Amino acid sequence: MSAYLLADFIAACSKPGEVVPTRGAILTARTDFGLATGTELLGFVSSGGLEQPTLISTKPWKNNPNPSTRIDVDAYAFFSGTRFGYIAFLRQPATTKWLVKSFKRNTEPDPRNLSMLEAFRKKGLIQ
Amino acid sequence: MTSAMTCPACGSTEVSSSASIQEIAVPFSEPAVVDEVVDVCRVCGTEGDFLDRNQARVEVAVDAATRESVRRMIDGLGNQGITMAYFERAMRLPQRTLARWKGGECSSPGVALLRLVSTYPWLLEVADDSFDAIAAQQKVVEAASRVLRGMVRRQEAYGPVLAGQPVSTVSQPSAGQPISATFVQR
Repeated sequence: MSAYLLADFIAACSKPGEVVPTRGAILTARTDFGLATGTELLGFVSSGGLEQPTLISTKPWKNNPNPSTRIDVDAYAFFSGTRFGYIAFLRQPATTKWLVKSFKRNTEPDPRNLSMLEAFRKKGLIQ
Repeated sequence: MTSAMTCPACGSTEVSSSASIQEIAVPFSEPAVVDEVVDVCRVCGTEGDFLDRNQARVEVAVDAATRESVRRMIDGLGNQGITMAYFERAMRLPQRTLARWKGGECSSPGVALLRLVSTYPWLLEVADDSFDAIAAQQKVVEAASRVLRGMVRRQEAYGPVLAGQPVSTVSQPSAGQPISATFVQR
């Protein structure tokens, strides 16, 4: 189960100042998705850019400096056209701001190819 | 440098700032170079642009690189014999549109169109045929044939180039003839 409602995060992305992408997220948004700035990244999310979002995990934020307040990170896989992506975000209750921790190309196998991979495995063409 | 800004991740004010030169890829141009601010929270380690100061810098740099790319694309098409007048007629754009684009007045859709035509110049022939479906298919096949012929020529000159597979026999196509190639199977 997710820690946050994805719809809340997506809605926040359209509100200036509510969501802050980390530097790492911006750099990979540039290289992997051609989104040059934080504003472009948030505009992409708020305009329905995360196609077929699927929750991957909900884990405690490992860099949380205040362990007495649990803060979880939700991670989703998504598509954008043929591109397979990964986004992770959290909400800090102390500042009420959302943080995009990660936004990058998903390195896990694209599930659309799994049936093809399974067929190749059965034929012994790959391991 | 330390300021009173707040880390959006943990709420700490222990934030320091530095500068970082970044290159942003722009198609058909040199990369846009931006001197970006990097804020780092010394408590939770989060890095970012906490006051959104980089947005304007990136936009200026990318806009400049994009304008340069427009000039390069139009010049590149001209070097292939594609005149601005032909481009405008085929795409049914107002006359002098490309001159205005080249002068810096190119919208995002205009840039996108130039990138498409610069990548696939035969799109102009498709447009010139009023996007007729059959003519369009023919242009695709002709373009694919030209690409394959180029791959075969490179194969003959430099060795295997097709997905790492050696070509065992290749018959050199003459003008107007289809190419044929037989690939070695594992």
